Amino acid sequence: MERIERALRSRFEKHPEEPVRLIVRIAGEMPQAEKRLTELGANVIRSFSLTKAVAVSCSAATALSLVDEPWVQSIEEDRQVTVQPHGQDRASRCGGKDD
Amino acid sequence: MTEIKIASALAEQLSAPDAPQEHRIIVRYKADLAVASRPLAGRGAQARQFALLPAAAMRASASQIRELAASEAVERIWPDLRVYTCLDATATQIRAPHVWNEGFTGRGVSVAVVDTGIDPGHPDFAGRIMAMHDLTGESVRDVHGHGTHVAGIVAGAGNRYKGIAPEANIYVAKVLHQDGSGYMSEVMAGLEWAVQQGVRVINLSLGGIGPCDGTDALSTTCDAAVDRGVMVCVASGNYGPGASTVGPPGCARKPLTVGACSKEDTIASFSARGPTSDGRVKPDILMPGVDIVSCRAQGTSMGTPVDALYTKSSGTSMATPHAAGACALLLEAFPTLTPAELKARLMDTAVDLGLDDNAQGTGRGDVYQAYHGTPSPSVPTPPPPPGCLLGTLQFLFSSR
Repeated sequence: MERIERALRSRFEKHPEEPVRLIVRIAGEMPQAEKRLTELGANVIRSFSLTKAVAVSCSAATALSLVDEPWVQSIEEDRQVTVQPHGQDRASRCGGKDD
Repeated sequence: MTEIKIASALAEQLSAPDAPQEHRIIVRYKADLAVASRPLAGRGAQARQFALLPAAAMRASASQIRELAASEAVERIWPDLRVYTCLDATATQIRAPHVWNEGFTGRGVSVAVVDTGIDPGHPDFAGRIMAMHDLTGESVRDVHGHGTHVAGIVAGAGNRYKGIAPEANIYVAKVLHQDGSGYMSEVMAGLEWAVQQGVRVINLSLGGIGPCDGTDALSTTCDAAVDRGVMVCVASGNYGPGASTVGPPGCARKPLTVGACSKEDTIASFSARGPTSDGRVKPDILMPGVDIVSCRAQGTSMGTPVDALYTKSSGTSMATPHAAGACALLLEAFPTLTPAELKARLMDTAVDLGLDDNAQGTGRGDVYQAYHGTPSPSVPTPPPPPGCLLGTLQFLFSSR
């Protein structure tokens, strides 16, 4: 697994000043990782225990600098999720094959 | 001729090896017969006579029922089935009332709704909201309406609309803001809170845009929650009908991913389709998710309001809590089931609708079949009458 998706790296490189929200998965010890993230200029929003990860906000340039840190397992965007109602039902008759 | 008069559901009851001594029945008589001339089940039998129909309700033994059927005055004999008010018709569709009849209503099973919050004053949740936690900074109150609707499908206990597990305990993590959106990290925090609370089931009627391969942080956290012994039900998403439209966390490996079908068992075209970007089949099953009437949060206008307390909405958001409620029923009946066993039980017993695997998974869920642990017939069974008042009345007036 790549530490950062190519498309995301490319976007960060093009817009280094862009403020971003990230989820950083940690390979090492969490307290040290959080301390180092702060030193590198990232704002730790939340840390997680079910998966060893932290949510941070920082600039795209800072995000790129994290990629080379040995204790970073992966970096991904903290993407938006939404409720899943209100699909206008265009229900297709079944009993045969789906469309 | 005598046998024809006895409704097939009653005939099944009579021939069952564990049939009771006495049955509750409704007898329909010839239209022009005077009430005093109506034959009853034995002398001095207690009967409730009806005026709208030439009929009477009574208790009778199997032999008395056969005697009645032999009478020229009798046209038809039905079983007098127990009735419930239902969550629209969909509780019946997945045969939740059959499981209630077995004595399981989700009582004491803890279910977390990780969503837009809840209307804690809604009467259908009275006394069963065990804990609430806000991760949005807005307060846990649901000003969107989605979370309250979802919670009603899982565990509403209304007189008019009853959820799938109407006696389950409800835990609420508010992770989505008043516009219905939030960040993955907020949902992850809500999942962690729910796991810390010790819930048995988590409902996630939310998602992002696909495709995905299940390695994103949210999907991975869902897998981790399952590894802690918590059943997680996630929406496949509303980005169908194109292929590979399931979004995170619907592409997670271990949760049960739920797509939506209608009350007529047609797939909802909006229901996201698999495969995942790493080639796995999704969704895992379908549940009803079209035109679902459930609880309305006070002051909100989500969906199509029915009245002050209820609103109608569609989506995989509405399908997923049918699955979460079904899990609560099964966990009350079989408390030691692991999430993997629960998932397998629901998938293995789903009704095959004959659609592509990446549209329907294994089919539309049937919680009564899952309760018994036996595979469903491949052709959908017609909505059974015993569950809902609506269903029973349809049965009474159509099965002549």
